[in-house]
Amino acid sequence: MYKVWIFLKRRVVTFASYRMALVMSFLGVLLSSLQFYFMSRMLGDGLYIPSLSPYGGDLMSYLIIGSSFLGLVNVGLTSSSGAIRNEQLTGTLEFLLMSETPLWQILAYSAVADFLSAAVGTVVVFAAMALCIGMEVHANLVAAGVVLLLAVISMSGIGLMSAGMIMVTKQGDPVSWVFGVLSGFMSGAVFPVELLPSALRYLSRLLPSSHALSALRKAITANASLSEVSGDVASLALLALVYVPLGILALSQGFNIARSRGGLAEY
Amino acid sequence: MVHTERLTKAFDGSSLAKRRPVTALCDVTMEVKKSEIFTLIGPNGAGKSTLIRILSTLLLPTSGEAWVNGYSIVRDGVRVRASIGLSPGGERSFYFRLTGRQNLEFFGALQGLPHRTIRQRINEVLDLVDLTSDADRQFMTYSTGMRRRLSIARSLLSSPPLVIMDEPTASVDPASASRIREYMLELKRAGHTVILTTHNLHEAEQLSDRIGLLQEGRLGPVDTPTNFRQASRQRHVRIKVLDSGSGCSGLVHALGGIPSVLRVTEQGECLTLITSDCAHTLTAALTAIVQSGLAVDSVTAEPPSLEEVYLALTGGLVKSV
Repeated sequence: MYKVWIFLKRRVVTFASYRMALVMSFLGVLLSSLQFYFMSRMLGDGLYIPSLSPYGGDLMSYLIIGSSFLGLVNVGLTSSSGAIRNEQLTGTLEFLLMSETPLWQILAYSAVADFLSAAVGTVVVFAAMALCIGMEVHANLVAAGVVLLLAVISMSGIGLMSAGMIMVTKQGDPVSWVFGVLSGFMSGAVFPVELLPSALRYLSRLLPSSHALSALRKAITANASLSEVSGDVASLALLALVYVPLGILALSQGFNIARSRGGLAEY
Repeated sequence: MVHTERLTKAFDGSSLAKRRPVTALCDVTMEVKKSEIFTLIGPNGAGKSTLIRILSTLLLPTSGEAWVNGYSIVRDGVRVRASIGLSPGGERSFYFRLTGRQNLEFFGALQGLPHRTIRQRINEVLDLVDLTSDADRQFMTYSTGMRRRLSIARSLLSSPPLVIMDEPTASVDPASASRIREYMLELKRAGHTVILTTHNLHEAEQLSDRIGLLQEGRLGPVDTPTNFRQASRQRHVRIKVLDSGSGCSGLVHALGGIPSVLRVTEQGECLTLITSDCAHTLTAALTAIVQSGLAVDSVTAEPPSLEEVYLALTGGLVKSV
């Protein structure tokens, strides 16, 4: 826990020292909330869409949960490669690697800090929507928490593959690009997966974000219990079991290639 | 403490990065003893940093093997890293927005220092490098000397048996450099082994128990500073003549013609001859001086400075050793 605290402290101290960035982050969250607010005004008392009925049917809730939580789940995808890139630029990567803490743990601590930062923004947007537009929230927090945790862990597996790639390529890795684009397109963030052609529907099942968003919507708006979202939870657990070992393997390979080429500190 | 066996590192070329293939280290076999200060000297690009990065497990050797504190750098990376404190030459290895103390706390925690004792240990190392009063300033406000001292403090956090310092006094003002040299001697007294790289040969001579010369990836002579100088066949012969009023400038040409003399300089009544054969030079030079009607006041013969030996070994100013 101490190491998690140290990473959080570094994040907070660094972030707070950049005042303009701090102000702009708050403005960003405010503008996101305003954007959803005016969209709800446009839709009036809400728009019931039949194809959204498994998720409560309300378009506004569907969009808010989709876009807010996709960003949160994608933290697992982008955090590790972002951390490697930042440490390369700061010149501290080699000193992190010289420590007794394994690299994957360092990336995990960094991801916790990233996740908590993103979670603050999501909670603020959510709270603002619940208060301003009366978005109905009947949340099962246990189910939502378990789904979110498994989603971030399985996405982190892909994130570790991406970090392994960044170790070698330094900038621009196809792993996070492909998964990021596919997550935005076919994980059900802005339209239900059920509308996709069957081939793409099967493909979307390989994305942790698809299962995460489906289960989170049910858990947050319909108070679905853990057993009611057990199918998605099992899929997320299975994807985590596949992606995390693959991620650690890819990270280790990338690390050894960079160590062999002498490019650990290069960026 | 450190043993390397035919350590070789070759980098592949890359047409994209406009990098040609290079052998940075070639068959380096050496031993660094416990509690000694071992200094690596050599021109830029000689392979010093490559060797240090291999010993620190940040770079894999192409062939050969090395052991630190008894652990293989290839197979026991975690134990090797636990045995090493690395203090790099650059200034970009800290978080600029954190204070010196916060930086040490961060890296100390990653080193596995327990929460209960980390603050006390940070205070100890800050005190050792005289940074206590500046510990709560942001790192970005530190001078170059303070950054180097904080880097040394970080390398000592976990009290590792081996401390590696890469050009610790480069770009540092004389007062700070002097303090850094004192820390190194304190480390040695406290039982740490220190591997140092430097281009400051006076510093190398002053601090080192032994010096190793790396050149084009190959390890040349390894010896004590005194033996390094004594092993050179060169001698500086200083002859002071009694002033006859006419000076001794006329002698410079004659003495320069002696086959074993490499260089002659004149400063007032004092002639300095750099020679590769002391006995022959002395006989010939004294004969020439007497024949010119001058009298000799005193003669001294000294080995060359480490810098002169280095220049000779690396193809610098002097013709041969």
